[in-house]
Amino acid sequence: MKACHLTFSPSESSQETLEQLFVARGDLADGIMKGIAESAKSGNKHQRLLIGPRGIGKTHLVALIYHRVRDNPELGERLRIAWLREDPYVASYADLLLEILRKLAREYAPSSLEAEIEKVLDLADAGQKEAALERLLVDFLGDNTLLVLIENLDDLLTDLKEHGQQKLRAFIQNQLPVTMLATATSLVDAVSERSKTFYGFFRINPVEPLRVEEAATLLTRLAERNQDHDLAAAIQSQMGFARVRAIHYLAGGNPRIYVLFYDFLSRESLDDLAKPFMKLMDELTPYYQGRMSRLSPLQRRIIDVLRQLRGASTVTEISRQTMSSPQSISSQIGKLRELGYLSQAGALGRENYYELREPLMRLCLDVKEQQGRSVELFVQFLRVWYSQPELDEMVGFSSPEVENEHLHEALQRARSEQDPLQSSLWSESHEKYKAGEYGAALETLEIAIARNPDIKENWLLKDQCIVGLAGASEERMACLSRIAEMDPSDSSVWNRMVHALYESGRYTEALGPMQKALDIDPDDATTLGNYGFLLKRLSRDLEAIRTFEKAIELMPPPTDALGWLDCGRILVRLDRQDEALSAHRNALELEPRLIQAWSSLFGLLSERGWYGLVNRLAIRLVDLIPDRAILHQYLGVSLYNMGQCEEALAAFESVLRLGQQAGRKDQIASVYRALTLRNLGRTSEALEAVDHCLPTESRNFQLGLRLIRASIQLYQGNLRTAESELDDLLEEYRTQGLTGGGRAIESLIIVSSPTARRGIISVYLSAFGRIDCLGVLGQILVRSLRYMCQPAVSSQSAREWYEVWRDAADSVEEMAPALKLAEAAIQYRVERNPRALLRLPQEERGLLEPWLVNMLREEPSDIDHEMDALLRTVERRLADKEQQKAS
Amino acid sequence: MKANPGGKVAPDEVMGRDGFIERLWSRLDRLGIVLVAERRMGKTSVINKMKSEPQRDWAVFLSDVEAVSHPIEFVERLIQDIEKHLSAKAKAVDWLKRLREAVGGLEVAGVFKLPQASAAHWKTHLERALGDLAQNQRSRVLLIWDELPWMLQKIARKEGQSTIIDLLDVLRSQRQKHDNLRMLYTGSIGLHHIVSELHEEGYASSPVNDMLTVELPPLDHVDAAELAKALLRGEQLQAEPLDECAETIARLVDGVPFYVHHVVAALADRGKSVRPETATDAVAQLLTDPQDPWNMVHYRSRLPQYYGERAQAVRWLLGRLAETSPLGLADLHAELKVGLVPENAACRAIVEGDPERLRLILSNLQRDHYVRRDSKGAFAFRFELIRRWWLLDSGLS
Repeated sequence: MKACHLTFSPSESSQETLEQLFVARGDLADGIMKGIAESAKSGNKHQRLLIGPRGIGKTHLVALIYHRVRDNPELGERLRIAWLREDPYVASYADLLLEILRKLAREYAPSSLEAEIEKVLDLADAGQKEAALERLLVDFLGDNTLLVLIENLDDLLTDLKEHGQQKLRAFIQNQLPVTMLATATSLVDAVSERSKTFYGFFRINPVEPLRVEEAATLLTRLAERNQDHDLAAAIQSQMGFARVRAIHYLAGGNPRIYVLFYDFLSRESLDDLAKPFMKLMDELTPYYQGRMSRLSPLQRRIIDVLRQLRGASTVTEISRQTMSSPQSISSQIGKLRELGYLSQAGALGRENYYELREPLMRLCLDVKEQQGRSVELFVQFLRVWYSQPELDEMVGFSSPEVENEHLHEALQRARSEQDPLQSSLWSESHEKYKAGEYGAALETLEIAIARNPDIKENWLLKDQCIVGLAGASEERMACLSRIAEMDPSDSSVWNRMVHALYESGRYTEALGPMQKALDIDPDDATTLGNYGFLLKRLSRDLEAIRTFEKAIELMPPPTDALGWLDCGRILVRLDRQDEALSAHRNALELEPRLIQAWSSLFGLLSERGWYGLVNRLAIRLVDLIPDRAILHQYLGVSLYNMGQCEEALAAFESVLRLGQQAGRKDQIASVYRALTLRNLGRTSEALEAVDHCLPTESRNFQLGLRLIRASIQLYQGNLRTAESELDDLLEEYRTQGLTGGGRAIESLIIVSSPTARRGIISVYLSAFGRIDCLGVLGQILVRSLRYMCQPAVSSQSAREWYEVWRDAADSVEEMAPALKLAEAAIQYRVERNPRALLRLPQEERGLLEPWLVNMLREEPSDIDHEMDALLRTVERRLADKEQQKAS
Repeated sequence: MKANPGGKVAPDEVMGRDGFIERLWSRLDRLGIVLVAERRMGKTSVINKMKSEPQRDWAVFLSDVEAVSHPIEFVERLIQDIEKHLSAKAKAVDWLKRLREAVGGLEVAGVFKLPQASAAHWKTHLERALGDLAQNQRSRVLLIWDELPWMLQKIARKEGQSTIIDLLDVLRSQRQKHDNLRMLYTGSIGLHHIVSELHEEGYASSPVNDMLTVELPPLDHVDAAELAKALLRGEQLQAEPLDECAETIARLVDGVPFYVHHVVAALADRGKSVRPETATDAVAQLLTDPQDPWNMVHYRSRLPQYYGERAQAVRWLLGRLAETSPLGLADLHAELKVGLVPENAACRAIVEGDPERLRLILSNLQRDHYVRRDSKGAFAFRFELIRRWWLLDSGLS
């Protein structure tokens, strides 16, 4: 490995390196610095304790603070720094004083201090030594404050024992002007117990694990530091970020592990994570063995039992396996949790389930136990899993992500126009637009534009009507270019252009107008949000996340529904789901007819498995706002997701009927209708429906249609034709890096009778095998569990479905991780027993649990109550509006 | 001022304690004081402020004695403190020199030490040191010993309980002998536990009954809100509206300065913007945090140590008072008879015996800062924060 950064001893690194590689803890470092500054300049003395497991970055932070203080002349003058690095081997209170004095002597090199220390060491009486060392320290400090940086305070306090701790505290209270910055892997009783010496003495800050984007930033900076700009760019790419995400799942947010992985992110190894990963685990084994060696024999045995059991386990089971009493296991588990080795995975009844905190530790130890192949396969699976972008893109609940957020404002402005005929034409077209009659609205607008082509608001509404009619992007661009000519300083127009190009998959072209909008207002949160969505589509994931973070930071507190929606969507992308849910709720309470907000909310809920809830909301909404066809579509999708195909079909046909009346093309409803017909076994009608879907500009969309066509042919038994079509499609999919069509691929494998399915599965295995993408097939299999685990799919069907897959793919090594997940999910589906999930190791459980549990939940949850409250508000608001209208 | 939970607060920045300190000085006019309070209430800040800003005609000697484990070390510490205090005052040196000679002390590497051989004579040395100090100070002398109970516990463990009786008796006799000598004892654990243990061991001595016990209360609501406001400003948090945020924090933590610092620190760790609701959330999170950063569980887990077999009854009482309060002694006793199935003889005696046993328990609970009595004599939780935690922790909320 390259020695680019001294991974295990940042205390030896230069300030420049430390600053450059410092990510995510900037606010914490600033807070600590302020506390130290106040301690230096006043009688207030701050004591800070950083808690976190080994490798989490505590020493990095301490080293950084050390350099920052040294660098600050004012602080440097008032403070005297003693940095007690890791393992100073302090055995007593006198040792501690001696260690501090020696550090000071080394740091400040006064010739007299070393000599004074030597004199004290000549004293025979231990009590005299302590008193003399205290005096020496106080005299040396004079009016200055001592800054002590202590690593492993937990070990130090344990070594000092209670008497030593009390001496230290008494010295601090009586004489010593000191501010401390300490680190520890866990809270020892001396600090956390109310009856102990240092209870409440420190301000305690946990050092949190890195989030995935922070890990990516760290690795990018490491590459930049090594002047490997190509690698820095590669990490920012979709594939690089996917790799970081896969590592993230295994490393549990431990920066030390990311840095170790640095070499494997080089371009040469970018396509194959598993092999270098195995090599790394070989190299990491001594590290984990070292950690194991710090434990008592029983603690080591507990770790080993949990490793062997793989999933989470109870005190009872661990005590059975270790042949020890539950009391001693329970006590040791408490200690191992404090030390950061174990975490609680869940609780069933009165029993708690525990597991190893870092998946990598278990995998590392597994490799030594000859289970390396399964580790390798799982890593491969993760790589594929995270390389696959959102699967629901093509035909999910997605709607335009780039909002024409300024439209409403423009519409309101337009109302104050002077020309009465223009006003009347505009009002008429606006009313039609609001009613969803986009074609009619457009006709009226054309008259208005012919009368006066220089009224911006007419063009804006025209653009919105084209959107409603799913018109071509060129048509929109022509309209928007006209507006840009009239008012090039209006950033909302450039944002609309981005939207038009974005919707037709012309992401790179969209960068031009995006830049224009950013030039006009680089700090506009909405524009930044749009830029984030665009970057995401361009697979510049890390930049996207940073842009979203900046957008959220700059976003003023929303005051209207669109503001809340913007905020909510960005929060979804930042994976701040609860806040996102609240933001959507706020948006809809203010404006119940804001369809984009419903769309986004449904997407958010569906991703988390709340299909039943989405369905309940959609049913009610169709009742409350019957004139909006799109709501029927959402209802249809929710029914489809729940496996209720007859009802889904009726909903999609309603959408298409309403669309026809309004002169609108409802592409997504058409596609879903085809899928639903196929699932119902009405394959000829399904093929006809696919063929009737109109071509669009999106290559992803086209690919999706072809995949669905192939799946219908398979269903019909035309295996040869379908296989050949599938070969072409998959090749194109693989070589051209298309990202859409996820739902279509997923839908390939979820239906058909067991007998037919066997044949179909063989076709898939061969087709994906030929292009060496069986990992992708595994990932699709896991994704399709969302359908097969629905309550509407009978337990027997779900089990049969799994068994057919298992029988067909059992001998295919690459499918093993997916089959294992499928087995657990189906078992949970059938038995509703959380143990089925707890038996999985956490990195595998994390792929199922977030949505599966919600999907099968029978008792109403907090989110159900929240959504019920939302519905009540929406009902009230709509009724109020009706009443206002009537009066 | 920045939030500084647990850290040392500069005496001139201690907020809201001026009135209390004023009252302490006024009481010290006549008597010594045992200053008691729940841990982290701010005792150390108060005594530091008294030392730093003494009233006229008072010489204040303050020492944290938790590390002391033998009476001779206590004498040594006393003489060191006197030296430190008088070092600038040349006139005093003569008597001090004589004292040092009389007790046989040496200066080792600049520090006054007593030889081990003098350990047996600690009583004489202590009397001499206190006597000389009182006689040679024109002003009145206040000796403040912080963490005295911890010191007594250590001495008792090492030397036996009779030694601490002797020590407390010497201190008492010197207080009575010298009119200008006052003492203030304080510490993290209540002195009454030490004294109770002595009584249980059969010692009849009442070594502090000439002293006034004063409890340090939380800050007044106004002062606590001012402190919260100062900290919110010091942390440069955007608190909107500032007054309401500060008052919310003060109210939720019962005006305990340590918790005020904690809550503002937690808010500062979360971000820049604070609303009254975010303050409420922060307190709720701190109370329900599985890591229990305030170690609230201590209020439950220390009961067996403090109350032995009676702990079951105490838990029941606290649970009842957490749900409904205030309740009078008779009501509590009546409910206890119906609600508690005693696990042992001690609890059975409380349930079935006369209310006196219950009254004694409630009296101890008052001294341990769990409960308070209102003007009608009824009992309720002393701190709303602890009551809230008790409810949450017991699943009663």
